[in-house]
Amino acid sequence: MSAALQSYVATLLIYLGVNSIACWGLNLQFGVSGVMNFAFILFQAMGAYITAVLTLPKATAGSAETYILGWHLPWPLPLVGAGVAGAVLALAVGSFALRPRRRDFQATVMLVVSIIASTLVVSEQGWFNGNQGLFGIPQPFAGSLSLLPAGYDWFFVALTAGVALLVLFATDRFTSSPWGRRLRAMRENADAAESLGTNVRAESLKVYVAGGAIAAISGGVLVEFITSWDPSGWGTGETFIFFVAIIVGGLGNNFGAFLGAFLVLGVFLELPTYLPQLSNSNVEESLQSAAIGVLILAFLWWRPQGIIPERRRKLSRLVPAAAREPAAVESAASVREEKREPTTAVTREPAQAATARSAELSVRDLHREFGGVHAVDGLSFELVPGQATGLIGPNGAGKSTALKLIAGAMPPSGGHVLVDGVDVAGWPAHKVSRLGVIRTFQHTSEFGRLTVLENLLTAAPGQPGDSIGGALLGRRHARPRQLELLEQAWALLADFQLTAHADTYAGQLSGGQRRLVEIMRALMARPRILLLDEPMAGVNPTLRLTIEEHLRRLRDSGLTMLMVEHELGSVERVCDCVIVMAQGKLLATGTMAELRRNEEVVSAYLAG
Amino acid sequence: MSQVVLSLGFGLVTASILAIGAVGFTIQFGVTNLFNLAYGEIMTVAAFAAYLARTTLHWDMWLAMAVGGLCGMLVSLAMSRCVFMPFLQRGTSQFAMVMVTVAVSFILKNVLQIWSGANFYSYQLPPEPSIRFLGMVFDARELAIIGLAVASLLGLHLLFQYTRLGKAMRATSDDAGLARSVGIPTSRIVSAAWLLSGLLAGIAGVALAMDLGTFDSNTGGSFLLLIVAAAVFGSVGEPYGAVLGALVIGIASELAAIISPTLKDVVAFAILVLVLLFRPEGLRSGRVQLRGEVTA
Amino acid sequence: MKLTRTRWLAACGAVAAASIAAAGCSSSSSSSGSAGTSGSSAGSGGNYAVTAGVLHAFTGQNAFFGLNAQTACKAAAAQVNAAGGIMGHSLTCTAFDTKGDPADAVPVTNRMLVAASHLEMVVGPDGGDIPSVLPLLEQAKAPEMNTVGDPRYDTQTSQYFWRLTPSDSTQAPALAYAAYHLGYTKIAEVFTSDLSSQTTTAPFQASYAKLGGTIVKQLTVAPDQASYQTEVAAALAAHPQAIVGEMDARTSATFLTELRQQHGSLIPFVVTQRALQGDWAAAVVPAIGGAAVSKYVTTVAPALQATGAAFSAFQSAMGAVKANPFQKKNPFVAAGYDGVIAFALAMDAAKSTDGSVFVSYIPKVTTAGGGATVVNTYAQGVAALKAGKTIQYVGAAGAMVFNQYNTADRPYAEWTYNATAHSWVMGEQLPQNAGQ
Repeated sequence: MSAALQSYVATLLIYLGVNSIACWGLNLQFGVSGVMNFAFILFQAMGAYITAVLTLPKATAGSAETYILGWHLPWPLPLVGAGVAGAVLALAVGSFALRPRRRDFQATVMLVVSIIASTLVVSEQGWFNGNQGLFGIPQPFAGSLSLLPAGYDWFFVALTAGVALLVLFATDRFTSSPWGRRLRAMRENADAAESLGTNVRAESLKVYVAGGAIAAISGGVLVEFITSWDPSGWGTGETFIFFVAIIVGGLGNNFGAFLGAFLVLGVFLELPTYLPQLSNSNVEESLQSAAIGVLILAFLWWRPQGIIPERRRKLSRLVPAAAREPAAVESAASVREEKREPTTAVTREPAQAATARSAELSVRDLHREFGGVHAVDGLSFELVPGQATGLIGPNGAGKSTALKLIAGAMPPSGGHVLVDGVDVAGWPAHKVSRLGVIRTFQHTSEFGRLTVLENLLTAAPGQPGDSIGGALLGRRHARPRQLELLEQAWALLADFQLTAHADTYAGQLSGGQRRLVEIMRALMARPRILLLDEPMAGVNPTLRLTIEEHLRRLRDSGLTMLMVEHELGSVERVCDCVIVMAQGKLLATGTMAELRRNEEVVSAYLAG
Repeated sequence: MSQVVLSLGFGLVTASILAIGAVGFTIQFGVTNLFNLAYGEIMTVAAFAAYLARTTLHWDMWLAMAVGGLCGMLVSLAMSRCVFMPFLQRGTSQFAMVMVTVAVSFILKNVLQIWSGANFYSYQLPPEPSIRFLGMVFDARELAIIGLAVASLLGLHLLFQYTRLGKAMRATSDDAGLARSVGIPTSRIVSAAWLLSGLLAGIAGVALAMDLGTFDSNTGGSFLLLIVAAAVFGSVGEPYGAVLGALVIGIASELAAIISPTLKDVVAFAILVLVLLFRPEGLRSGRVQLRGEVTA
Repeated sequence: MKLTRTRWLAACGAVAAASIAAAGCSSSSSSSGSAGTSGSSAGSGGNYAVTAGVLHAFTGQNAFFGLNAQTACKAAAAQVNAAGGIMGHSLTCTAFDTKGDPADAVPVTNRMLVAASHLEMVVGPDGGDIPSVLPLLEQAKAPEMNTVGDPRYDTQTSQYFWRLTPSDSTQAPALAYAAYHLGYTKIAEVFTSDLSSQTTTAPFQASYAKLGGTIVKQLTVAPDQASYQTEVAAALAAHPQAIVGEMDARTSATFLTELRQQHGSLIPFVVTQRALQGDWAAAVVPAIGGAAVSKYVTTVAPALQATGAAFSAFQSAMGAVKANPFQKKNPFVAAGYDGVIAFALAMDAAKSTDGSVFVSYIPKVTTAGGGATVVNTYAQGVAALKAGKTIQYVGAAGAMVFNQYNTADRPYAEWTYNATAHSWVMGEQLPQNAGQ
């Protein structure tokens, strides 16, 4: 192989390495966590600039280089600096760009940031030398090894491979940890994740920072090879090329990201350069860019998961065989049997029902208005601990809104929500959920592309491995607790008779089954107050009875429940006490029988 | 002081173009809940359509602008019917749709580039005498653009307040499900929204090309940045907020240029950042509750 | 496919190990170390064609550089081949698109070194790519020629870098000189914040002040804005006699349109050689009209030989390759054409196509004096060399005398626009070292 050919091949390999690192970073943000980082290229550029600044030696007399600190740090320190810089930049940008709740909104803001940053770097000479950029960056170890040029290129391939390995190790640990599972849940349904204890904004920021650091490292490696860097190399279009790469290769998994880097950034972009030059090459470039657009559409249409889809994690095989035995399941159920108290008449002694599990909930003068409409207008009530309370009323009475206010899914305009005496009004949902207030949703909110077991596991609190640091410690660190939780989850599945679907994607189940998954998931979160938002909606009559049976057992075990429901029959069969709302206010309370005789209630229903 | 007043006048012109564009963007978003990043390309196509009307049909500039508006309507409707709706029906999630719009913008922009040969084009409008007014300087065309903006916004206001179509749009914008349940034919309203926003995009695109002197296949896309900033400022989905955003950003940019010309774009950016830090859903976010599902 | 972690580790480890092994092998092999393609060492041997690689951006906003370079190269190659080639070898020009950024330029350069057979000279690359690409070309012993203005190369030392047109550090004083001598002693200075503008501003201000002129307003504008009204107003408020500086095509179009609208008419505009690039007039003329450009705009750019044998040869060569009117009268295209011919003559003089050999002959065929015969075409040069004479090639762009840092300090001229011919016409030539 001639030296020139060796250099060429080595160059391609280095670029593959750099692009893979970048794709792994973007995959962590978008593929795994659903954060659409439309400013991605900015982080790669930041890494390149900082690496350049840290590597450049002092200016020699007469040199044209105007921006140098002169530190001339040895490898790998500049790359570490790049990573830190990328993380800091991500923190700064994420602090405002991640504030809107909609991800497409966030993406657009990030795009704006990317464009503005490019403008600023060009016009502010003092930052990174404007359009001229930085050049003459010494290659790592170039002087100290006596290698011929082609030999040095191979050495650099080894360096790149080393860095790529490290990045792969980290991202692999992230995605296969409990933290990774939390991120994927967040991607599937951010609201549901929030209601189960995930601080979506904080976790998104963490992912943004981690991905930003990785992108920066990729820029650092690249700049150390090509020895110069200026704004022409990081236009906003570059971000989309990376997106195409991971969409084509496969979202949510590292091999897919690598494949995307190879196919799109390697083959698709390099191959046309072999074609004969058209007289007007701008046509070729435009065709290529248009082709990128077509590629995005084609894949999002036919194969949104990419060539290599995210693999399904079959956790059932991890459940210890002993726990799977019917006997074990029986004993788990019987443990619950012991806790069951004898059902009495409708009203119950509060003292008897208040176990360690249940909590007190009281709502005082709660208000919520939207543009002049008072959805909730001075609502006050108290839940009896350990009881199931129904919340009924005509359409538009504000029942669902009330539930959302209690759970923290939206802030009230006024009033108090007291959980065991603590006022949680205005707290974000994830904070409220940590007090044990768990809400299910009106429209099923399962995590579609997580298996049933994974759905359940995401809800459980206190899992080692559920943070960046914990994730890096690997499987051994997380395993004991995971096995514990798997046993619990399996027992629940057995209870609800869904063990056959333990490894099925929750999104592929029937409507009723998804509803059950949602309830089981809520139970895994160790609720002390369970808020159910129309659990019977869209459920067939047979399944309805099953769910009612489960809810009664929960009630009997002492869980405080508040259930919004239109199916009055269900309410009657499950709830001890019922609250009626109309026009945002409390209308009446009592048993179903009492309420049926209440004229006001009847007329409200007829009117509303 | 006179510098400030002068800049105020210049800012009004930019703000007028920006207002038309931003309101179009925000109406479409309000009704369909879809962030359409191909909106800038609708503007560019309209600018080219007006150019063709002038060069091949030799029409007057204002007639050509009407052609541009018409073209914008068609492109906008075509985008929604041929691309966005099928993708939504296929189950693409709301936020993945923004990637679809980006792809459409790539394709449109580059096809335009190939067709136009990456050259610059101009309406070659003859220079007009300046009119001085309250310390500000305009020419007749700029005043016409400001007038056009005011007329359009007034027309829209009347549409929303007094016509059935307008009220139906607002209802769909606030709560599509509820609107459907009270018998509003949502799909017709949605089509109307795309047509209306396309019309506004077209007019804004032609006005922009007039104001710049020359334009090419990148013109609309570059302006999208400012449009988004204006729409976000006033809370996306709220037309009156978009007008406010356009005024603030258009005027602030020109005023910033007094201090340093390179600050222009940065000002729009800084405003955007500040708004997001303190009111993440925009200034008038109390009015609009952002919905989960896309209607398109 | 199940990719367990151990397999991943194994794969990466294998790549790393193989790389280190390859590095070790390469270092121990004492092969030529140069590109296997160039280095025709023993010279001839077979009837091969010499390739000139045209390494430029052919896409993006700098695409006109690439197209101009390709046209220049082809025209020169036509002349060379018509006169029998280089020692019997024909010359071909092959284009390689760097896409205008260093990250893309490096792999393309590598590919060029592999794919092009007998690559002996390179036309390009663009300024931003030179730092990354030059080391590769040096290793491959392929000298390059460029028309980059960046002053950072004023003191460069590589023997493989040849700059055919003067640096921006001479452009700026020339601009100041021209503005002053056209009678504009009170000017507004306007530059955009992009590559060449930033390197021109400081030397311009220094020269202009030395000549005795006053800059009443100084503006740096951001390119491609929707409006420059405020900036225009600021400039006009200072009552300058002319606007002097540099703006890219689209910025100029918007700025000048608004200037005319605010002031009622244009005022004189003295601009750098940027205006001579194909896209500038294409944007500005539709905006303010060809007549206005003719009347108000003066461009300061390197001079071109308007008459003589060299010029006619150049024109017929351009006609043969179907160049457009802009390219036919463009001093940069002419410089590229001259450069290729000069390199070819250097190969003839050195009797070798090996880069490491003929590089030292490049000055020998372009320097005046010492009894050198002045030749104006390739054919004349070959004939003179065969007769044993030393030559000085003076081509379409005039004498190309390289200084010690391999930059050809050519004189500047004032250019104006001819609306009917759609091209720039050279006017008065400025003295050498004008303004310095």
